[in-house]
Amino acid sequence: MKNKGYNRSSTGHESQIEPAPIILIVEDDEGLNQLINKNLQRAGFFTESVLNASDAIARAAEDRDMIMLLDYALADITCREVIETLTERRRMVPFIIMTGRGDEKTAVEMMKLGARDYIVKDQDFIGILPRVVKRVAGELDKEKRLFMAEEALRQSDARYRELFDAMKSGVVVLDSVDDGKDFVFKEFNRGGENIEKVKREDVIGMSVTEIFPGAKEFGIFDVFQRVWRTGKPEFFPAAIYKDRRNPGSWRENYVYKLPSGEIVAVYNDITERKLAEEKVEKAYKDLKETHARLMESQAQLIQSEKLRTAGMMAAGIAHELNNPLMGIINFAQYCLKHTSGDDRRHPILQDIEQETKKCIDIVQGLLTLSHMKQEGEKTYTNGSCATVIDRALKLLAYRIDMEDVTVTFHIEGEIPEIWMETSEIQQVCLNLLSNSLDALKDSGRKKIDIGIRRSVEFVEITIADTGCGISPENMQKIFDPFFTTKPVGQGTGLGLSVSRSIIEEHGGNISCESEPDIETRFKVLLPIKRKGEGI
Amino acid sequence: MSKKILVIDDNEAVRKSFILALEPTGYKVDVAESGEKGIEKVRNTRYDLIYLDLKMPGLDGIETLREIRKIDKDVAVYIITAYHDIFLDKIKNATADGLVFEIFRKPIYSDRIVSITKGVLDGTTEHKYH
Repeated sequence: MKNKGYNRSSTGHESQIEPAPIILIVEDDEGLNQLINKNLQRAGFFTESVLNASDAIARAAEDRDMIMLLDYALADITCREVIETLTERRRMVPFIIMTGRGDEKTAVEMMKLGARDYIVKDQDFIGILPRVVKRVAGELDKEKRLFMAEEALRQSDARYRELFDAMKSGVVVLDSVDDGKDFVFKEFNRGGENIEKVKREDVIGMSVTEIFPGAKEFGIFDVFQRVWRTGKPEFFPAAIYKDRRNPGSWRENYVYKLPSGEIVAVYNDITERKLAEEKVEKAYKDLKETHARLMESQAQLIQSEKLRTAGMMAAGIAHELNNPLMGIINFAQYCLKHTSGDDRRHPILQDIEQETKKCIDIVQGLLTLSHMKQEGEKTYTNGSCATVIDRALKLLAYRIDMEDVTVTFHIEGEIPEIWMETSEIQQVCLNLLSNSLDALKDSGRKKIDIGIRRSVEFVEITIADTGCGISPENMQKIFDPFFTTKPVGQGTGLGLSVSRSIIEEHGGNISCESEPDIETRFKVLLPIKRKGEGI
Repeated sequence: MSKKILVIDDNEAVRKSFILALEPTGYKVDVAESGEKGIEKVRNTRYDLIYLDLKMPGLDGIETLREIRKIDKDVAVYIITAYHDIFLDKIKNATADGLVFEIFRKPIYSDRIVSITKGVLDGTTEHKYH
């Protein structure tokens, strides 16, 4: 027979699902080889024939599914050597030994070597060979299926293990202890390790209450017990878990029961999400507040615009009153001059004169106040702080009287005149005094104390009241434009900011100290030397 | 010959105030209710002191002053005004152009009217105080 000749038969293999193994016939008796070959082919096997051991090794070394039908007494090397050579090459080929010697010793030897079966070459052996091969093939097939099933199981197990560990969520498998009084950890995945910063091996076998002392308070423990009892899955929505180790983090849990009776909790730490949500919420709140403030500022702007218009109208009216008032006072003074002191009308005329003078003062005050001059048209003059404060007090006299406020005014020693825009300084005094009156509205003790004294190169004006005062957190803001604690429509939040800019323009300084309900004191320092003049 | 004073003001109460206040002084007081009428009077009469309002219909005080100065360089002019801010530029220009005048703020009481007038006309220095 040609050395490499082999045949493939397709007869009778349709019923087999797995591709049938090739039967490699290793028999140096060519005639016998052909006989075996023909016989096996007829029985439906794929066969290949080789006539010596080295060909057998070469063929068997190919990675194919095969069963070797190996002659015990080969001419070149022994069948033992064939198997050992293949084993060295890590090639395990199932084989059946054919031997002329039917002794027990050979059989044991071959079985030890790993033979699947052992067949004696007697006169019937060709006939029974297909059955033997078929049985061995059947066994191998079964083994292979079993192996594959085990492999599949192993892979599936590994896959689920991988999945279990790769999940970002914490997964915990718990078994009940003492009829659901507590639960012990059976499984704890890497997700759980990462969330809790504990090692799986430190947790397995421990009880829930040992590892999570806050579990009962958190509420999850009740859920475990309920799910364990009822078997109904539950979702435990986001809540804050806390214990000695954990200062507080947001958790949400899904809990369900396995057919095995164990409880599974799949949970997530959503602290970051919650914090982000809180940030968004806070940002939204801030935005809303800013918007509200903006609306308020707008209202205040409208209000201050209204005030400006009202101020202009007041100025116009005051202006128009000037001429008639000049008439009235001069007419009264003329009459006084021409009325005898004994005349009963004389004191009445004096009253007219006095009252008219008051009117003139008010008109002057209004004009000075309403006249906020643009830069460049300011008229600086030497003026007396006391006069300015007097004027402001006159303008507020009605309020002071109505609101029953006691005003004291001290002038300490000689006060030099200072170079100022009188109307502006008067406005500052009006602002400060009005603020004091506002602050005194609900006070039991209603006092305003005004002082003027010389302080080195400055004239110092202090206005102190016993009103509600300014809280420390508001103190830094009182000079900011639009900052006000008064209800909308009652304060523009501009008074103190305008006052400060006026004082600073004069080269001076304004400051405040407040002890609510005891004393709130504004101090204004104005330089005696003109701005720009050396000291 | 008694000294002559002219009051130019569109407001009657103001004009009357001057007349009444100055009555006991014996000075002659003329009044005009507009700049134009005042100028006319200055053309015809020599005055020693002119009280002049700033805000008037027709010629305003500064325009009137310019015309007066063309006729009489020396007459003392006292501008009496309630509030001179709207005329500030005009006043500055007038000063720059060398026009001489004083400014007093309305309203002025009788004794002040008398003291200013006496100060100007009789040479006392009291008028420097205001």
